[in-house]
Amino acid sequence: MVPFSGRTNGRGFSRTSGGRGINFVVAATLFLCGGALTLSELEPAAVEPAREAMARMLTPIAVAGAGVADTLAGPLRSAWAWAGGVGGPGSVSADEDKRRSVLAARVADLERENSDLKALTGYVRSAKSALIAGRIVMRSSSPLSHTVVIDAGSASGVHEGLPVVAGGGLIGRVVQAYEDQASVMLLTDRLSRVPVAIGQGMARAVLVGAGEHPPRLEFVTPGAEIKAGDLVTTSGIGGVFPRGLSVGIVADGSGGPEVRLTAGEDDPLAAGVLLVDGPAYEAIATVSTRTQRILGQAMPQAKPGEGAK
Amino acid sequence: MTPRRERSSLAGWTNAAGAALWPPVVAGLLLSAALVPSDTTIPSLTLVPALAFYRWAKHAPAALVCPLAALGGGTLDVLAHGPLGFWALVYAAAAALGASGRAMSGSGALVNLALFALHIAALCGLMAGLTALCTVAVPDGRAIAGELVLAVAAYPVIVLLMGGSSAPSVRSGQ
Repeated sequence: MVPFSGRTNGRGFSRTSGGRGINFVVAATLFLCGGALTLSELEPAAVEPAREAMARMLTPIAVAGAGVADTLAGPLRSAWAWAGGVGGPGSVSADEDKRRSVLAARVADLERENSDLKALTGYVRSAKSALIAGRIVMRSSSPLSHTVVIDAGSASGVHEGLPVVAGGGLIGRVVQAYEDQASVMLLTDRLSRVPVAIGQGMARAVLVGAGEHPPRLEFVTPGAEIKAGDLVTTSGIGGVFPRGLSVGIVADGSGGPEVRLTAGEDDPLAAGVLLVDGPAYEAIATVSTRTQRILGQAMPQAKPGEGAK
Repeated sequence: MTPRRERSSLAGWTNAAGAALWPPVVAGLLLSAALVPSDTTIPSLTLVPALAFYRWAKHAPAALVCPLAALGGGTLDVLAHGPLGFWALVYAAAAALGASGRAMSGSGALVNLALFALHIAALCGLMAGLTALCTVAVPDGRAIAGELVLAVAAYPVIVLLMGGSSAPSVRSGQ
């Protein structure tokens, strides 16, 4: 039995007519891949329909696979936690509990503050607004792109361009909405561009994703004074992101100012997200002094208090 | 049935079983690469399927494995929202390298090892070059080195899962 021996006669690219046929197939495949890559880089819109069609087909399968993998990994996580692995899933779970309690405190704080402000201003709801809850069900692993898939789709009102908030700050925006899922481009993706405002002087800049490295600040308002620890929020310029969403704080980088994101990428896979549609973002963007204190204790990597002047 | 024919039949069945394992193993590796998130502490698994396709192409016709590798890479590109064709090209190139190294498969272990090292270097060079072209920046050498170490460490497991050296039906055709 000689399975898979084909017509190569065991010599890879042989000089027989069969070998020439194989050479042609290999060359054609490589050429097609190279062509697709070139087109994808030079004219992304040209390959978008093909990508979208494939994504619609593959994403639900991959999400189901991620669910199965998550279920299978459950006993392993429990065993790891039971064994008390340092930095293992046990500690992630503890972090998650802490984060949940922090978020619960923050929500209560915001609800109280919001109702106080509504009472003070005689607020009458005039615009349609919505907060859509979701959960990250899949993360991409490609070093060239940073995206996640969430389990809320167009059936829940999700549409392209919606800002996505998690862990106290903006994490990205929806780039593709399917019926029950949506792809979210993270702020660290190299294609991500977010207009931001910095510090009390409200200098303007564009937050540019840099892959594995923290996002950079580019096109900073000339003459603006930016220093490490300044708070970075969305400026609302361009209309894609609403104004005032918390993004992170300025940090010194080797190639210029960087931004340490409020919502780190190391959030657990099951991190909850909120999609912000309409003026409701103001409620999320408002971070009271008390919340800052709580966040400062729970998430020292973000240090929101540093930016307070 | 003579003992020699029995042995031959057994080897045939082993080969067939090994060959039947290849698609699920490659699919599993692709899924792992798509689903296991990379961060600053864990290198990406995306180079591991490339070596699976490399190994597969050593034992199956390149005309079959190369397009399959491109399809697998394309799937990863779509799921990761990366540049369409990036992983397709890397995986197809890995399959082509695997097929090109088939002629040397009968050589000594040292020659095979040197050839493997050469192919891996070529694959990493291609990956770094494409990354530089796509990002218009110097690629992160540490990230690529991490991926490489992980992939090379996983290679013996891939070989084991894919039937070790018992599966090379091509060799029996030589």
